[in-house]
Amino acid sequence: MEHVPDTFPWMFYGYLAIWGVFVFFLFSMLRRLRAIERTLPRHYPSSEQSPEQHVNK
Amino acid sequence: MNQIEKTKTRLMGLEYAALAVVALLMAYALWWVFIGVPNERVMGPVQRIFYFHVGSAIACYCSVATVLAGSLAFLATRKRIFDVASEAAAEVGLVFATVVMLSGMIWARPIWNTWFHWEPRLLSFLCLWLVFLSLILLRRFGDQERTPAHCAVLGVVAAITVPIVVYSIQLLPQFAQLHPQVVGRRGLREDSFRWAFGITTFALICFQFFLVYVRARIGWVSIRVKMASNDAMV
Repeated sequence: MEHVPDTFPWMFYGYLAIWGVFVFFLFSMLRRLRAIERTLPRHYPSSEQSPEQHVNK
Repeated sequence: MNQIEKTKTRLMGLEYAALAVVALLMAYALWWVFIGVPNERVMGPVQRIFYFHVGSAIACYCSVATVLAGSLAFLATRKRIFDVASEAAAEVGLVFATVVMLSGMIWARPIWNTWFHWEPRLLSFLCLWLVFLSLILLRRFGDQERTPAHCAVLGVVAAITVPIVVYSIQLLPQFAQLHPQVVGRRGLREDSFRWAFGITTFALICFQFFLVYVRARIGWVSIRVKMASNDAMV
């Protein structure tokens, strides 16, 4: 029978790193979303200007 | 109706459907990676990193394509929405490029007995990662007025890097470098390997576009909030 090397721990570390990066990014997006939501009600009344008017020439 | 009110921060109907599709695809891909394919006989279980490593690289190239499209559209029209899309794609691209680098290094350690090797494919991908990083740093520390135009130009440079990464593997003969040329040389001979690779790559591309969309929406809302706060101060 062929011998297959036991590299299971490295596979585990690899997927830990992959999902660690994804989860970190998802949480950072969630954090930014929460920060925006906290400031949102304060600015509701005065926001008629479109971002297109802030374009750099 | 005012501008911020029109741009909701929460996901809505179709977006939840897209999220569900992406989650199902990812779960199906993970089933194939960990259960659907057998152990590769030379490398063992660590070879299963391949599916997410290469899939993330392809998803990363999709981010570059989005950055390029956004950058060119911004340079042509100067519309802020294209800059926001380009910024979102650059950030997601950095995430996928980091996944490729880390998973590649962790895979390389038991197989090549080194974390990194100075050869064309690895070096050119490191350059792509650095270009993504510089796009993020330029937005953070650059001059606010000129940053979108500068980032658009750098976005075009990032796109030029991709064909260099793809064809860098052909600069040296296979015996002179460690990184294999699996897909190009028909290395995936078994059907289950090919199917697992295909479904994982597709799931990661869908995941990438979903992340770009969500990140772009956050960017768009934050611009509106910033403008509203400027108006409030005036």
